[in-house]
Amino acid sequence: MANTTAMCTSFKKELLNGSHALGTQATNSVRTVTTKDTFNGALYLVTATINSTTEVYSATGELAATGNYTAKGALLTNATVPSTTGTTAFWTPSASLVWTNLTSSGAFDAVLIINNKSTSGGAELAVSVNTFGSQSITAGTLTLTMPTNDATTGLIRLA
Amino acid sequence: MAIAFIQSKQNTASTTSVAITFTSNNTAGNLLVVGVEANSTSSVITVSDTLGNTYSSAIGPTQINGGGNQWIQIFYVPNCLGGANTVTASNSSATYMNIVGAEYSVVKTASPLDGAGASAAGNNATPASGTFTVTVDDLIVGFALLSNMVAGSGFTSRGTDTYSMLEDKITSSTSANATFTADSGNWAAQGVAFLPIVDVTVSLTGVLATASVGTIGIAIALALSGVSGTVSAGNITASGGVTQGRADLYLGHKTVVTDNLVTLG
Repeated sequence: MANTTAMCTSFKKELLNGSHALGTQATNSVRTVTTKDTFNGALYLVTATINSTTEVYSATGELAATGNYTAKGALLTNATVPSTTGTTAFWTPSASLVWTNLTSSGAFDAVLIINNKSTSGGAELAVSVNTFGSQSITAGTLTLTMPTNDATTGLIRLA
Repeated sequence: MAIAFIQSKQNTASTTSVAITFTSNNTAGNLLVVGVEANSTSSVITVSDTLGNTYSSAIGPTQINGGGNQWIQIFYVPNCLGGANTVTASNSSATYMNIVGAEYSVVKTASPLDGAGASAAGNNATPASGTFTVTVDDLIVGFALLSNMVAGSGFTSRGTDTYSMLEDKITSSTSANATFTADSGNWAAQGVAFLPIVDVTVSLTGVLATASVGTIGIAIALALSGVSGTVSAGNITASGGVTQGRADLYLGHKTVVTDNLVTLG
């Protein structure tokens, strides 16, 4: 079992279905204005298995909801609208994900981005899995810094 | 961030208890360390405070060399409560007590002790806890009993009645020894280590999906009249035996043009 960095395959389909609004969409001839969705980042233990096949949020393998960590993680700051450069569209949360005074229930190495407003069977739709080196923390501050929001490093990119 | 000393206070009393009141309010989440000396036939020392913190023994009690009626012990509270605070140490048989309390920030709020520390007793002018294993950036706290105490090299005194002293330092080594200098005589010394809070910063890497657009297929099938068999073009097949030709223009899988076009005699 392992976690693997990937854009969730279901997310791609859901983009075609209009299930996700990463930014606010202006009114056009077909649709009325769409308020952007809110997204969370949830932390997963190294023993979990989340990857491109992950379709929705699941508590299985997530850090235990103790202390300053709550189920489904923390809210992403989304003040940056999706943009394009050349032929690539991209989107990145506008601030780091931060947990203070966090004690992890085990080693963790992945964050699952989920859509709080778009669900399937009551579970939040998965966007992406972003992995990093195994970490453990005791009563410390965990900061997940976002990549630069551009066409080559943005958190979510479509080329 | 490194562990930081916030404040300390010291007091003595010739009775069974002694108290200090921190000059400034304690900050919730900090570490409180209390060193206590008791001149007593009893080794049992207890510590409490007005905030309601629960004190644990970090090490000791340790008896002065030679079996005299003098004891030292270090207590601690991780993740302390915040507010004005008076700390009291008691020993039911004490005739003299010294207390030194210190507050530190950026110390682990759960299980902050790094190992068991060390303690020793001896007779000379250089009290020392003895060597114990620690972690780089640990807070090393020493407490010792002798007369005219001076903090050891690299250590800072946080309070003394000249007979017992609490000292500390942040270590850059994986080995520690709480050392002092003093008048020559019987002594007892202790050393313990506390772990700092270690923050974690991780840089996320984005994910890329490559989008592609499908190719629209165009196929024209032409069947000739009077010809038996099958004529194919692209993925379109017209079966034979027909008397009339037909051409179909397909875009993908959808027929967009169907018409009779050719008739051959």
